[in-house]
Amino acid sequence: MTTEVVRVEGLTKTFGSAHALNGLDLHVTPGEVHAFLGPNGAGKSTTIRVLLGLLKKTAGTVELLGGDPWSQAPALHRRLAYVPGDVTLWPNLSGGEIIDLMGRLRGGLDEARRAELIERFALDPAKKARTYSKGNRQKVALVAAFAARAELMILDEPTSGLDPLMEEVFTQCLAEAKAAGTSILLSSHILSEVDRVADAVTIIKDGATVETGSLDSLRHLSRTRVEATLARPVDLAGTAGVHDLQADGDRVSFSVEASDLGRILGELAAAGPTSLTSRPPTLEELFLRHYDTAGAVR
Amino acid sequence: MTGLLPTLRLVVRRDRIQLVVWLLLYVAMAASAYSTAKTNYADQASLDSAARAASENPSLVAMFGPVYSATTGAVGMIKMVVMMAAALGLLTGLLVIRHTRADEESGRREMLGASAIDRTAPPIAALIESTALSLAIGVFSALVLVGMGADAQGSIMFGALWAFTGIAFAAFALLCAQLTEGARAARGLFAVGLGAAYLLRAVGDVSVIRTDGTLPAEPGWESWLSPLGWAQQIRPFADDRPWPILLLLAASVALTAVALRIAAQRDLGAGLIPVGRGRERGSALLGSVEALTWRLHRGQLIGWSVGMLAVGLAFGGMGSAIDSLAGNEGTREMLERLGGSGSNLLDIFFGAEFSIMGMAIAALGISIVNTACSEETSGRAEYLLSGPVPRLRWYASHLTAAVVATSIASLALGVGVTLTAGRQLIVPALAALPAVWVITAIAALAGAISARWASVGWIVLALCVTTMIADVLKLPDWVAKISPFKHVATQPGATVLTGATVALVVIAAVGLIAAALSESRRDLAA
Repeated sequence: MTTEVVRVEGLTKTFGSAHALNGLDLHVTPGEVHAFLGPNGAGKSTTIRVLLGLLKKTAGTVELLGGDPWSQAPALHRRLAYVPGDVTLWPNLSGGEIIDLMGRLRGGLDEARRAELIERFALDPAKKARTYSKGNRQKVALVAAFAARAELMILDEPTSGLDPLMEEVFTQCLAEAKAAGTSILLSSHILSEVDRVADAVTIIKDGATVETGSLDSLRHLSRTRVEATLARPVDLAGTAGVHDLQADGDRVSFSVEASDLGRILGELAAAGPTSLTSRPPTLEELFLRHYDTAGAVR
Repeated sequence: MTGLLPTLRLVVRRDRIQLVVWLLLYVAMAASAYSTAKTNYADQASLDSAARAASENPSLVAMFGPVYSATTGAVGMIKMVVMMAAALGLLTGLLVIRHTRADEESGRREMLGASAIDRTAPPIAALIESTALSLAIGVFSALVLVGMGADAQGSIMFGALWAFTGIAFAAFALLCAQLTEGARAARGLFAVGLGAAYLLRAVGDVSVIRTDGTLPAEPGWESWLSPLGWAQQIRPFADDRPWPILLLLAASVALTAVALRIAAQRDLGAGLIPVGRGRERGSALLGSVEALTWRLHRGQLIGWSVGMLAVGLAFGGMGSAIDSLAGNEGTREMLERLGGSGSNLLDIFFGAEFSIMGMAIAALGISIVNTACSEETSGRAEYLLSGPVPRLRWYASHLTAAVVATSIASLALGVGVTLTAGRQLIVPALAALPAVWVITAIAALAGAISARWASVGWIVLALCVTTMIADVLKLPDWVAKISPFKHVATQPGATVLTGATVALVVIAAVGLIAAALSESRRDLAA
């Protein structure tokens, strides 16, 4: 039996009369990269703070690495690393000092890995934190987290201040951590980044889980986008199962449900396609299905 | 100037409530002090004896300055002149730093700077706000005093004293805000300047104390080095001298000009005092939550210890001037009036000063326990506590730091006094600590209940300071007795270990332990 790294069931958290979390479920299995998605204010950071034992749950079940995050926080934290969404550091300490402090609190850090990560993230560790930009503060927390070689990493929108080059470094580091067996909970609203690295996804809205599963299983729920150039024009406007049709001369593009894909492709083949591309739905599209109340994607 | 008006509007909008409160508070204080004097001193004989008593008591002179004339205004307003002018300077100075360096540090200024405003618009707006507040307090206080039947010229001079002191320290704060990169450092620099001004004036006043029945002539030269000394030398309701106002005004203009010159030329976020590079690696000592806490408070503790040592040296030095008064007949009479049987003038002086400096050291205690709150609200505590750090241990480290730091600062004060007074005064200096710890514990409890209640400690400390002028504010007797500083044995030779002292230590200990336990049981603020 595999024990889950994170097991959250029916989690409720209220602040006074405001309900931040309303029966949220979240399951992270060992070794997976689990994307935790939701719009701003959905409750991602609140969930993470409950997982870190910084907030007390109101109701529900929360288990972190097999323990209770509130009462066993220090012992559990030895096995995890965290990068906050908005990294604030001690202004008078240098980045190097902060990385070493966080490492020593955990009982030492991997020296070679520390040096390598500072190099790869192009971080100047001798600068006082006061003078770091947002991106550089984030790099300090990322270096400290990746150098920790933890069992579980909790990353709250970790790339929001990084430039594309550094995002690439981050993605590599994430892949390495995953290869080393680290479980990763990655909260984000930048979908393209988790699209590439995530194994599983939990989407939340208004403090409750609306969708969860492996990325592959979720893709089945969504439509494939098809673009084709056709020898003979064909009118798909009335065809059942075709959505968001755009026709421009001999070029057509549309979305199609997985169950209708075969039938529609048959019709296209009859029209003599000279080129055909199809791509799976991006997380963006999965995401919008749940949030876009106007239904623009439908 | 581009963008001055919108900036000014924003500044006033953020402060509108406190501006009104401060204005009303100051005018009410002036009115209350004068009305108390009118009832207490019905005839000239009572004024004469009150003026003499106040001008001959070194602890009162050090705190409030001498009384320059036996008039209702001069006697009645004595507690308002230097002390409340300095308090107003503190207020305007902190307001200026709040709208300049603090905004810059938090990044709010950057958002503002991206819109169409001049680089010097925010500092000028902050200065205008403080200047307007100072002038309003001065004008309305003068009007109310005249309305109550006080001498018109004296009232105007009194109002001017408050107004121009407030403006001068706002200008000084404006300069401080240009020099350092951090708001905390700017506030520290400002506080050192204000404290030095107060101390220099105290030294100048105490050095010329007479006990032959005449009122003092000119203060010692030290007073002329201090803007608070200049303000005092306006001598409202006595000589009503307008020319020291020019000194204050000239200083304000000069400080503002230098500050704006720097503001116009420096980079956003930069200070004149550059931030050096840090260490590439953490020292081997920086490996625990306690080490981090020590690191966060180290600079502040060193600054306070040096400051308290300097204050102690100055007080001890004043002792010799006071000692020469002790054989005097008039002084002995005064001692008897004060009920000081068995103690001498110098002991009373030191006892009062140790108690007052205890209030200053309580500010250090509050500042340290409040650091835990700001660590929390800034998100740094969240990051730290994501490591294997027990919440209780983290919070307790700050409380311990407050107790230790206040002890070290008190020790520095005692050592300073001992060095120049030529006798052991360390124990009486330390005797104020139980009161300091009670205030610290109250601040800690408030912060433990909610990180947003960090200001409770400051309010409690302000109330303790206010008890010093409880008599002129016509507050009931029990109000003055609430202050824990009224119950400590700081007078040299007094028994330190009294029931009251033990009670204070117990209250402080219970408060600190309760704070530590309740903090780690609640949600972390984010």
